[in-house]
This record gives sequence, structure tokens and C-alpha cells, in this order.
Amino acid sequence: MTALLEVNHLKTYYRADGDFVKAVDDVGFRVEKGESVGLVGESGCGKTTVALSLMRLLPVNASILGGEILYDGQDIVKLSDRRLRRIRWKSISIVFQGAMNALNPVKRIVDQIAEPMLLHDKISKEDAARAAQKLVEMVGIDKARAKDYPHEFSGGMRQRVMIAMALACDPRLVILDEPTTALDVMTKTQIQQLVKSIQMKMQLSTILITHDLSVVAETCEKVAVMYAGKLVEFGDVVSAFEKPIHPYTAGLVKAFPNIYGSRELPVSIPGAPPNLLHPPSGCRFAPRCPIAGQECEQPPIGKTLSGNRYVECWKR
Amino acid sequence: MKKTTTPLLRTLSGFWTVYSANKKGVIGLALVVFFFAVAALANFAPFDPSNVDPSRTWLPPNSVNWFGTDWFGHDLFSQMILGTRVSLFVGVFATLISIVIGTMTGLLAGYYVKRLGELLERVIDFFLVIPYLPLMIVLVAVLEATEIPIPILWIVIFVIGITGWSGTARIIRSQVLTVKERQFVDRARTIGAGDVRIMIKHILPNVFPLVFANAVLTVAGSVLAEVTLDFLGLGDVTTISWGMMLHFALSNSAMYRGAWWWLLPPGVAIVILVMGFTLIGYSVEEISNPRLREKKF
Repeated sequence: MTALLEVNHLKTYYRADGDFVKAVDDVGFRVEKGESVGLVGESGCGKTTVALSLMRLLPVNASILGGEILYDGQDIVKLSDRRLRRIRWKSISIVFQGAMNALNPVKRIVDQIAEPMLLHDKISKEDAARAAQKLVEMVGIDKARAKDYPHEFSGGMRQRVMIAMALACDPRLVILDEPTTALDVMTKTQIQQLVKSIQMKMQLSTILITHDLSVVAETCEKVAVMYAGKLVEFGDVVSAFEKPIHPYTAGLVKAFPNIYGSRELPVSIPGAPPNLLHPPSGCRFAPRCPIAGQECEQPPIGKTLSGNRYVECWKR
Repeated sequence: MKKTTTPLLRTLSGFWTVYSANKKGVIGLALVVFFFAVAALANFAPFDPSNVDPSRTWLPPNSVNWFGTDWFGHDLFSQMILGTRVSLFVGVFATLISIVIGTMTGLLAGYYVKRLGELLERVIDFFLVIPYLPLMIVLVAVLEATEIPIPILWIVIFVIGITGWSGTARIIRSQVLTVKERQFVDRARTIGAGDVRIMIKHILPNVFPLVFANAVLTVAGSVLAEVTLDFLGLGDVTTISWGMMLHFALSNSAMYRGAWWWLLPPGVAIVILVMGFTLIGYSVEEISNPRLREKKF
């Protein structure tokens, strides 16, 4: 069976002063139908750039220089703008980072949710408004509030509105870019549960971008760990967090406090991520890696270990 | 809070609550409403303002002719009332033209910054820098000389309209530049909205308060422009307006004859009407920009 989304050797670079910032360099992963994949890594490691590449929404100074993004067998990288427009939102939709600011302050939320339907489906204004109303209820907002303006909503509610908007055209894959950042813990949990239940109900696949490992552990089946534009580890969530293979994943897991077991202090990873204009020629994590050796001065070759776990490391 | 039926009503009543607290705004609104009422009721003027009565010339204000009469024996009170209608008509329609051109140019110049924006910027600069009075005089003179079958009143409106939009365009452009960088514009593009839809459905509503504040201030300017053109004799001499009254007063040496009642009413009315519009414009600006709000102690 083919995967719903298959990313192979994706390269997305930003142009800067005649040079390239290698934001995403040779990244590949798969998303099966109905599966949720967490994409984690520290700030600036290329998570959002991957998400934007998937929908080809990159800023003008960025471009996809190689690789393929296969959605249902067709390569998004090579699609014409017209065919791409048909896939966007109808098949793949996105909940933006800092979604609270992605609502137009002077338009009613029900109209904003209805907008993608009016643009993509042949549907009358009344039907679109009715469908939008249903979505509003589905994400847990009182239908009496549907005609309110964004400033009358709290941050969590606005996030719910953004999720409703992402579901407007019945997509099969939803990308959630930091959907719970800047929300308090209670709201965060509610939003997570909402996403999870909608995912079950609609048989959605999701890609969840976050730097919060606990969110991934709770909601995702697979996890992709990125470091400095590279995918360092990809595999099943439970085994990846319990027995991390890549030293970076191990470092990340150790840097989070454990609420079970012995009372250990979180351990941080020394050093800082490399400058992506001139990354290390070998393994990009080597300068910070506790187990780096001679061979790490060459770029590591990705390999798949038992349990279908992909890793890019010389030492494993 | 009391529950009202629709968000629009709630917004309007909310706006009124804020607006009515602004003293300047209320005074300005009262003045403008007064003049609009006079214009609406102009048919009830006591005399036909073009009626010539040779037996009643150069009369100072009296119980029959409240504002006195002029050299031809016209009733000046009736002329004032009908002049209000013409001045407001020209002011409002010229503003409509200015605001439509200004808003569209501003939107396009702000949205397409690169080539089209550069071009439009230069056009806006041109209209900002050129002294508008000589331009208007030349345009009106040329258009009237071409003998196109358009009433002179509409020529005046057209000329005032196309010379007074550059300020609006500049202000709208700068606001569009900031609004289009907001995230909801990206989102609109993501869901497949085209440029025209983004401009009209997403950006325009966000700059609309500015359009409105500008429109009110532009009316004041347009009324003044109309008075100026009429006073210089470029308007329609058969239509009575405040500017025309001043024009005839001057050309019949009303000052020399001591006929202050012929000059004073149109002059004072112009000042008050323009002040009314300006006060409204400033208070709308204050309300939409909280930093300018009156400090209360």
C-alpha cells in the first residue's frame, strides 16, 4: 500500500546574500492514512520550512531545489499552479503558527470559515454559511457565537476557529504548525483532545509541528526528529522516546523532566545549533555529540534499523 | 451589557457611545446636520432667489428680507438657503470621486509595490506637488471651452474630484503596506484567494475607517474648492451658490457700498460648514487612533 504522503530527499534552501541557507537538506518521511506524525526539533531546524514546502507556500526567497513530495502518488513539487490550487485546502490544509493572528479582524468568523468553501467548491453562500456553522459547533464553539468577530474570542477559541477553517474543505491531511504554543496548559490539553477526536472521526492524517515532546508523545504515532535541516531520526513514538537511537534524540528526551521513575534533573545538550549558511561538512550534530568520532567528519548515511526505525548516524 | 440583535447594530451603537463622548465630534456633527437640513428644506425658501424686484434693491436686513437684498433686488436669505444645497451637492459628489480614485490608487500602489506601485507613486507625487488651484482653473476653463454638453456644475465637480485624491491615496497606500503583511492575508492566499479578492474582501475593510475619516475631511476641502472656483467666476453663473454670491457681491462693489449683509452670510456659512466637517474628520481620526484620544481627568 502506498503512503498518503511520501517525502523523499527534500531540499529547500533560502537565498541570502548570494549564498544558500540550507534550511531543509535531504529530508524524507512518510505519513500513512489516518496516521499522525510529530515533527520535532529546536527553533530554526527547518520544521516550518518542511510544512511550507509540502503546500508550496514558501516565501519568495526560498525554493525547493530537489527531492519529491508524493501526495497520493502525484509529485507536489512538479504540479502546475492550477492543479496545486486544487490540492491545497481540498486535500492538504494547514493551521498556521500563531494562528490567533491569522484571522481577519473585521470579518465574522463564520464568513472566514466559509471562505475556502466558496473558493474551492461550487456551493451557494447560504450552504457555505450553514456548513461553516456546523464546523463551528464541531470544534466546540457555541453556534450563537458564529457571527461574532475575532476580537470577541479568547486565544483558545480562535485556535478552534483556525482548526475549523482547516477542515472546511474536507481535507485528508492537516498540517498543524505549533497549534498549542502560547496557550495555557488547560487550553492546550483541550485543543489536543479536540484534534485527536476530529482525527478519529474524519480519518484524518496529521503532521504536528512542535518543540514540545510531551505533546508528540501524547498525540502522535510516529515522530520525525530534525536537527539543523536534517532528519536525524524517524520512527514509532514509543520506541523513539524510550530507546532513542540518535544521540540528538537521546539528548532531547533527557532534556525533558520525567514525571515517572527517579527524580533526575533534566540534562541540557551543550553548545548551539550550527549556522545553516555553512553547516559542518560531516554530521551536523557532531560538534555537540557526546559520542562523535573520526568517521563523523563525513556526512552520515541514512539507514533503516529493525522495527522500521530510520536514523542518520555513523555510530549506530 | 444589553443584548442587541446583530453585530452590525452592536458595532454602530458601540461607535456612537465612543463618538458621543467626543465633544468636538458632536459639535461638528450638529453643524453639518444643520446645513444638510437647510439644504433638504430649501424648497421652502420664502422667495424665488432669482426673482428680481427693482423696487427693493440694496436693502439692509429687515422683517421681509431677513438678510437684506442685493443690487438686483434678490432676496439674500433665499439665496443663502439654495446656495447651501449647491455647495453641499458639489462638495459631496466631488468627494465621492476623490475618495474612489484615491482609495483605488492607494490600494493598488500599496499592494503591488514593485512596478505598478512605483508608477502609481509617481502619479500620486505629481498630484500632491502640483499647485491644485491653477490646475483646477486651467482644467475648468479648458473643459468649459470645449463645449461638451455637460452642465458646468458637473465639470466643476469632476475637476475638484480628480485634483483632490492624492492625499487620500498616499494615506491608504501606507496603511495597505502594513495590513498586507499581516498573517490573515497569507492565510487568505493559502486558501486560494486571488489578488482582487484579497484586496477587496480582506484589505479594504481593514483600511475603511481611514477612508471614512479622509472622506469627511475631503468634503471640507471640496466645498472650499467649489467656493473658490465660483468666486473666481469659473462656476455656473446661473446657479446660485455661496461662492457665486461672493462673486457678485465683489463685482458689484458691495464693500464700497457698505452692504456687509451681502458678504457676511456666505462667508460665515462657509467657515462654519468647513469647520463642521473638519471637526468630524478629526474626531473620527481620534477615535480610530487611540493615541490621539482626548485625555480625561
